[in-house]
Amino acid sequence: MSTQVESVRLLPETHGGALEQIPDITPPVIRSLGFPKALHFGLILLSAAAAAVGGWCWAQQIERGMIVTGLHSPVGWGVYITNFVFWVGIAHSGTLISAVLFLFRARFRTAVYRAAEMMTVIGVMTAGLFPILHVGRPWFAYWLFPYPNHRHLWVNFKSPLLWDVFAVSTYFTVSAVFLFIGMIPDLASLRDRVDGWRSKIYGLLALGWKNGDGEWRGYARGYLFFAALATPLVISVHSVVSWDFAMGIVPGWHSTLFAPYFVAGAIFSGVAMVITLLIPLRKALGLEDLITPHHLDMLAKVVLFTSLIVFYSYATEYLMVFYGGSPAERSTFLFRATGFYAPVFWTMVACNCIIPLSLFSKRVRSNRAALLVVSLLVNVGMWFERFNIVVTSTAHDQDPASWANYLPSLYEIGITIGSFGWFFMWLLIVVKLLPAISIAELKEHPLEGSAHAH
Amino acid sequence: MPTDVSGLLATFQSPGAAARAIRELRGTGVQGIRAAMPAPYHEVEAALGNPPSQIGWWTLGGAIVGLASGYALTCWTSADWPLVIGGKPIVSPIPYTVIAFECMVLIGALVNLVAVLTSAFVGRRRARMPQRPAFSQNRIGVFVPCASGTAEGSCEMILRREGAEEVERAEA
Repeated sequence: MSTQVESVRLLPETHGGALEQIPDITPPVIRSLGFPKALHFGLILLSAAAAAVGGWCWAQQIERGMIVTGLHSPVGWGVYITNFVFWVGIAHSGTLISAVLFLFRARFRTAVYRAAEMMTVIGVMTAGLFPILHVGRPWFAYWLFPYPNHRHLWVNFKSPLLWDVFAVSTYFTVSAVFLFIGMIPDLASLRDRVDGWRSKIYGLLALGWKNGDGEWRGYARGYLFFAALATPLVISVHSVVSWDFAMGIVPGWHSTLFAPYFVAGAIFSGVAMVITLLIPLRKALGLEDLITPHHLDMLAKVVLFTSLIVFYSYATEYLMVFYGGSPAERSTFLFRATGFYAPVFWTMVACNCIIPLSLFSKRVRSNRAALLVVSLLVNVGMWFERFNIVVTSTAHDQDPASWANYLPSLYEIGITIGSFGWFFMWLLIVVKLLPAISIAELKEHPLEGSAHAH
Repeated sequence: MPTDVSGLLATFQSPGAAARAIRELRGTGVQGIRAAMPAPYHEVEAALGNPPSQIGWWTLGGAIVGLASGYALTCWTSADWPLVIGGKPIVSPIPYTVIAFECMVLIGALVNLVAVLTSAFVGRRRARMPQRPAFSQNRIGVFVPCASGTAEGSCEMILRREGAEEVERAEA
């Protein structure tokens, strides 16, 4: 297989486990950058067109008001909040792969974490749009932040919605900083390898990095502390998102299970999205020698493991409800599985619990087409899971007189499609401007980086 | 600006060889050895024997300040607008812990960022060494400040014996 032949060329010579020659990773990374090929460029345009459709729908919503959405009593949270939770979940895997796996010394992360971090930052950028969209009057979004004002009003820090503002904005800032810090030595490496204006731009971004031991000493220590700070942050952010629901006394939401269940679901969906993106990207960017089938296999195992946790959480949720004595809870959970939204529920179960079990098979994990299909279905299942949580509980709450179903309007669907366009547009642009692979870390741990080639 | 230092610049292919050369040179009493490398190779860092970075203390300080600021912001603003919400106490430290935690991570991370960048800047200024593009690619540079011609000869011999591809006279 050509991948293996190429990988052997990139592998360093080793003697007794010691690195005898530092592999030259930079040239293939440079080749992955620059003006995109026709297909890549076409996909950028397509994504931009989808984002424009979303933008137009949003403009319509601003002009005509929230009446254009399908939101009405009792369902006040629909696909906007579904999308918010979905994109925050997608954004989770980047920091998980870069920070948590770094602390656990899981070396397979070296080849994949940069692309996952880029996905994280863009995922949070996408998620952050939805609360602003949802409030209806986006020009007042700054009211969410505490600032001194002439009315002496302050935000309500007891509300989980405010916790979310702090958690998501902190997550965005820390993820962006973590991405940038990790990239500094790679930008310096690119600066020294390319010429002209590209060298100047990379040099500017590298902040004068010279690779000296005095620089590495503080850098390595600082990176460790970033990872140590980002790890609890990852867990806190999706816990806080889950508390947006769990702090309410709405049946189906008021559960102590929510925080760990949401964190597992976020990792599950995020890593599935990383696989969904990496399979085509590694080919499109010519990085098949560096992001090998071994890395995809390891990521597939993470998806499998987290799918089992998610499956267990679904089962626990139903057990607690049917073993507990709350008729409202029981009614809501029956409604989810047998009512108007039953197709959503069973799609969720099929995509999140049943289909990922196929990853127990090494044949499925090593077949890229099959892996891509499984990871895509997991993404679909996780979107439906968010919808199932957000919508069904308020549609079927304690008061039977208020029960009503919600379906998203065309504007909400347009904005949802637009969010995918927005996400893919930025991702496809960024991977052509900045290294989607960590050059320095692959030079530090090249054997793990190309282990499959052995 | 620190004054220029002259010495020998050796180029190595492997971190192990560079580390051996540094250890041997330090064993003969040579001080002030510097290295440049495309990744933080631990064996080279250990051979140089530099003291551990103090960045952790700055980050810890930032995190403590962040935690305290988070509690201070929430408690003070609640007391400034004393409105009972949901029957909870005006100042409710338990829910405020979420905000305080986020502030701790945020300010800790930002202080860490400033500390990393400052440390890199100071490290560059204090331990200057000749630059070669190969040091950001796939070679390790070891700079040995040599005071006299005699010392220079023995240093060069050690560097070549330990596998230096190239040894040249350079100024940092």
